[in-house]
Amino acid sequence: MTDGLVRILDGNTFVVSDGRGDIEASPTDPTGLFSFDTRFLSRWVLTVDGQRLNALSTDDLQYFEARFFLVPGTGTVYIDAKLSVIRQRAVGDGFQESLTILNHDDVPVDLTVRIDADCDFADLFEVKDALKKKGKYYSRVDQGGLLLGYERDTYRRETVISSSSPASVDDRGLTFTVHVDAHGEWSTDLNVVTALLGFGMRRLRPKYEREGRGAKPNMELDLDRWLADAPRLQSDWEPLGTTYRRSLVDLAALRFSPIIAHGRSLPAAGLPWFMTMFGRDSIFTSLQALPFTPELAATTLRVLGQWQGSRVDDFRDEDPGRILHEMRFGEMTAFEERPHSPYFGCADATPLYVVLLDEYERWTGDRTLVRDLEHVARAAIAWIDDYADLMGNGYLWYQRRNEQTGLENQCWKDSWDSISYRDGRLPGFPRATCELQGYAYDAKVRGARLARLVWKDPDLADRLEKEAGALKRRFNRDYWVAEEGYFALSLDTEGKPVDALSSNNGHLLWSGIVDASKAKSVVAHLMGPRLFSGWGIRTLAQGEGRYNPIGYHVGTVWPFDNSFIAWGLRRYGFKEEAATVAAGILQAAEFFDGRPPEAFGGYERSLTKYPVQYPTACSPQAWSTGAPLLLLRTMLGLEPLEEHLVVDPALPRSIGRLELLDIPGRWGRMDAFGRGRVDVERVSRRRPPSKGRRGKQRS
Amino acid sequence: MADAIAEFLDALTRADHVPLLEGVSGALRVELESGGQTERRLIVIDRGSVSESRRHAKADCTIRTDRELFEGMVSGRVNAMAALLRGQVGVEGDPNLLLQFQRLFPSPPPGVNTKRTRSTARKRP
Repeated sequence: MTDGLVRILDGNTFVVSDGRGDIEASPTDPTGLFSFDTRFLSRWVLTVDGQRLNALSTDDLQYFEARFFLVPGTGTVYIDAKLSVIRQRAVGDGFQESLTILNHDDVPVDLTVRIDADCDFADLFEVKDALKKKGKYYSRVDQGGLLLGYERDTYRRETVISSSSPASVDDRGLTFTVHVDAHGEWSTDLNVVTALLGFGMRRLRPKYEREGRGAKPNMELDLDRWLADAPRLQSDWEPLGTTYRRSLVDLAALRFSPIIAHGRSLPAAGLPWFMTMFGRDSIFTSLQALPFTPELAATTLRVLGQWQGSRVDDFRDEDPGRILHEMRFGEMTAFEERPHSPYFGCADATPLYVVLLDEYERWTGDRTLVRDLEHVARAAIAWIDDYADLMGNGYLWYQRRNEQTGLENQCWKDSWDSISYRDGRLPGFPRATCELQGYAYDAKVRGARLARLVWKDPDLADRLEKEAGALKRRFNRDYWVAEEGYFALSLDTEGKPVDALSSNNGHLLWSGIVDASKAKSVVAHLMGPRLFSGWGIRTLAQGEGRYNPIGYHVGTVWPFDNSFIAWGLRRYGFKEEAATVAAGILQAAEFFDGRPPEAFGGYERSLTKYPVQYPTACSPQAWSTGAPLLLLRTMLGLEPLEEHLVVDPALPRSIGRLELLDIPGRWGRMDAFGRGRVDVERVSRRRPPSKGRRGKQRS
Repeated sequence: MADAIAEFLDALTRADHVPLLEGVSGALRVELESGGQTERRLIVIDRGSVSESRRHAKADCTIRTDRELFEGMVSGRVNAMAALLRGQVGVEGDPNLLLQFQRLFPSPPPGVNTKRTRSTARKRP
């Protein structure tokens, strides 16, 4: 990490410290021990004889474990240290830290070792927005340990710190009086345990979710098994192997096990702010990872189904059948200062839920789950027509009902300025962005397949197919910007196209809603110089009023977005173009040690030579982590066909030979091989010349 | 006396089938505290059908809360998940059962949340 911070995590518990292992958080600073969206330690400082320590080295052993090698003394003067201090920290339900002091001297030493601890119990939302606390703090010595607490009415959160060696405990920390023999060592284990207290002081969850007495996890084995279960990749192009392994490890780290999932896990959205359940992110990531780790999709489907909306609640933007947007557990959610208990304001997760269910069945053949979730899928499909057609014209619209803390844009491009006309004006609400119509179309087509095949309801299947066909016809008429030959970003409330050229066209290909006769023109725009930067496809085309190469959703390139666009290109037979997009994103990933960022600048590749990372606090991010996986699937042309796996590779030449072995699915395990034959330079050169409207960039 | 809790539970047990509980099975014990008294009700869910038992049978999930608060939940005025996070509900056993059960609580009545929100959504006819 370039910021010098060390991050370890396990599910939604994570520790962010400096390179010495110390935590000195300010109210707005994202360091500390966090769990369930609450900071449980904001100060954690180690001193020896009153002196701070210096880091010689820091090792991220695993995503859940770090080790700090320290010596006494200040950083400015080199000291021939007679002492070494090793802190080894593993996160679990809280964390455990093994503290070891080595005496390298020929004489024994007597030391005072001190851990200062404190906690502000900030809600993650407060850390992001620097808000004031409304409750009271307390602390006390409790069974030889230190208990830190926070209370607001019935809301209580506590942190308990204890040690394996005797300590003198006060309400600011623990002090150890230590004698270390010549060439001897001393050590102690520090345990930090977090508690959410419920009614009658009962804990809201078991003290430890895993076996064992301490907070120490036993996750190494689990990670090994995770990696061993995934398909093996061999490639002539070495960076691809690095990226692939990085993706798998990050995906393991991003697994999040909600209390209700019985130990199974689904992908959380990203570190550190988004270690929670997100409808959209969990679904997209599960889709990307399906050929590699199908169990993520199964858990995502089960858990999102259990949380499916059941009533009309304006504050939460909830409707019956709607799939949630985001779940949070912190104080502001508890007191309904934020609507995330859960919040439902997203318009795409509901149709995408049906898409994932069908895609999951196509890969795994697990019809039991499809049967179990029949009622969820039916309610999701019904939501599209019953609640989302806000204008009554057969399209999926969104408009928040919670105007204070709800989300304005309920599509994946959820920043305020993401949906605009060419001239930069913003349309009013409600909005019906184009990709939502694609997802709705695909949900109905796939819902029809499941209705016929698994639910044995041919009437529903017929109806959904008819509706999907009608939607496709309407859409190709109403959204088509005929003079340019692409689909508008949205419709406005007057039914007019919001006519900016955007990457959303690629999602339309993925959904299948695009008339075959229009695909070639759409692809020409996607691969044209206004959208394709050489690394990937920009969110918004150069030359549009709001285009900005470092604007969050108005010009940057998103690896996640591109992975689905590549899938869409394949779907319409544009194999070489798909390979070109894949090559760009995978080459960009190489600049980030195999970890594609959330987004990078939309600058022309020939201009910057390297991808410029969009400044963001969120890395790894789940759907960026999943992007290389989906690109692999796309390049190899992996497609389930009944009981078989079809392999139809179209790889960039630079990759050389590629083998993906033991791909899990309804066929058991299968191997896929391919050799790079696509000349991506030639595809890039084929790009048509820009049709004016350049030079109007905002920056 | 009109008892919102009794009405809510009666309506559930009278229904042949509760679609929102399709695929849900388990026994949920609800312990309601009021004036030093604890009222216990055992709600047995069997794939969409609900019955009540006065027996002291084993529950898969037990929730304990204030009777008045629970009345707020069954009438839509109190959100159960937020109340849980606030520490107003105790849970033992499988929390999924509580999660599934609270989905039956009705929409907030008009006036709740209106400060913060625009209007009420409606199902299109």
